[in-house]
Amino acid sequence: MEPWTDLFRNPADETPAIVLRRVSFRYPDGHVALSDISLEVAPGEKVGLVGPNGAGKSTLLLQLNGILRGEGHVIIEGLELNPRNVRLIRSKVGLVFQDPDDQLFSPTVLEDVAFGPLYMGLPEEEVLARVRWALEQVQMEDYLHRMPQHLSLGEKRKIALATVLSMKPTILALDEPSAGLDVAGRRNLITLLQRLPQTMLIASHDLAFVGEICSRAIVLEQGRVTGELTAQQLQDARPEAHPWPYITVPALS
Amino acid sequence: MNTEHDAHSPARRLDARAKLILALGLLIGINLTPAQAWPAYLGYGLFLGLVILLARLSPRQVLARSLLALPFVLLAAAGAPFTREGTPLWSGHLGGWRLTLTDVGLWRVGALLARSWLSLGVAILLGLTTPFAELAQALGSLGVPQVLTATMLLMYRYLRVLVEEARRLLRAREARSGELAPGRGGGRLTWRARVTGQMIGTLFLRTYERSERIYQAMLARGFDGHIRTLRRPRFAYRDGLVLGAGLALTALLTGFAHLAW
Repeated sequence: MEPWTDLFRNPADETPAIVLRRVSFRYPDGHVALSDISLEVAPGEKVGLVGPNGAGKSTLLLQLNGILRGEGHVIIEGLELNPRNVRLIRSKVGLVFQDPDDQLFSPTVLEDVAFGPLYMGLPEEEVLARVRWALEQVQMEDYLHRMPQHLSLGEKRKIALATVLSMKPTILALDEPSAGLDVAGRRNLITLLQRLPQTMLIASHDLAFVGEICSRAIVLEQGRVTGELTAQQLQDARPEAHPWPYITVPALS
Repeated sequence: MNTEHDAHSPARRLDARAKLILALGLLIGINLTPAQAWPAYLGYGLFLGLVILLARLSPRQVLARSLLALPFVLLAAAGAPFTREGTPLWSGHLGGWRLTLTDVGLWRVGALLARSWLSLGVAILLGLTTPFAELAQALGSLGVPQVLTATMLLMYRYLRVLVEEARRLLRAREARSGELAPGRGGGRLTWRARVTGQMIGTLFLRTYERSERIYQAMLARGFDGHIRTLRRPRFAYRDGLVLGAGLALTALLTGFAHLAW
């Protein structure tokens, strides 16, 4: 099966994949997680989101498909997010959570990967075809009837990715995808994400990981965008190469 | 709960609605059977044995699960042998009470145990041969309100989260606990009660936070509060036939028991 050709718009279409305009978000306890965020991601572009713990990276990703709603405008492929189109937008934006255990809640891998397509209202044959295809993408075809709780962290991360790939989203929002992975698992994930054609927004502390996948990275501090790292800076992440002290050269690459 | 079934067994393939109605019929039949109709109870037992065979389950496993609830049944039935009139078999004093064990009382306890054990067997077999999501969907299609079935399904999913979090907490406690001399507990009873209370509080908070994140992950993939499963239920001719035969057998056994006793 040719996987993605039917999903992506004409390359000449310059409508940005993601636009955030003056987005702010405050948690019920009063903590301001995002403050006046504006950013734009082009179709097919892979962008990193870097910053210290508590900078608002995860909160920002949750804004993209309306799981959390704050002030400002979230525009996905030209559609401004609102209660009427939130389900359509959730099928366009695949959100991969930081902890794969939060995403894998069914008794088998099959049921977990089928969850999204089932809620898209697809016929059972199509759902099963997508499940097999998504597992092929992450090279986990043999895990169909395994219990997700019994898998290793690296395997869980791949299955968590498959659970959103089966919805064939055009945008992927990944929250700390390399956290806790060993060298081989991390390398596999880099290869996999490089190969996928989706627009990506990747929240991570692992700058070398972001550098291998993304063309640029947005720096987030205390809920505000405070700068941007170019592709060159991502590749050369010495502390003196940029003004953000928490961004360091990772030990593993 | 339902991970041990053979996914291709005839009992597993049967429509969940047919299994649910048959299980309800069996429960009603078993509990309407007169106390001394032992051949009828034997008939129900043989029927359950046939289901175990068709489901390709281990009889030992089903038996072990059904025995788990036996202490509770025994506790509930403890007074019955002494409260029925009949031929006295034994008499004695307990505190200021005079107790008389009668033959009718013993029969009653026997019947109570048989009914409870068979009823548990029905519930266990239903659980082992039907994935929980299908069961919830079957309840929904039989008229149980959507809000109840969705709540059941979420509870079932979160039950595993609760168990996982409890295991993590216990493991962390073990890792920080020193070895005690045999026969000695750690700290005074009040101290241990306080620690246990704190652990339960922590467990609640952690489970609550995690369940929120799981719910967010479900929403992110389009969850709309309705139950959707991969196996779309189609009530086939075969399902109707099995259901009809099972209900007829149940009615036959109950009717026979009422006529004969």
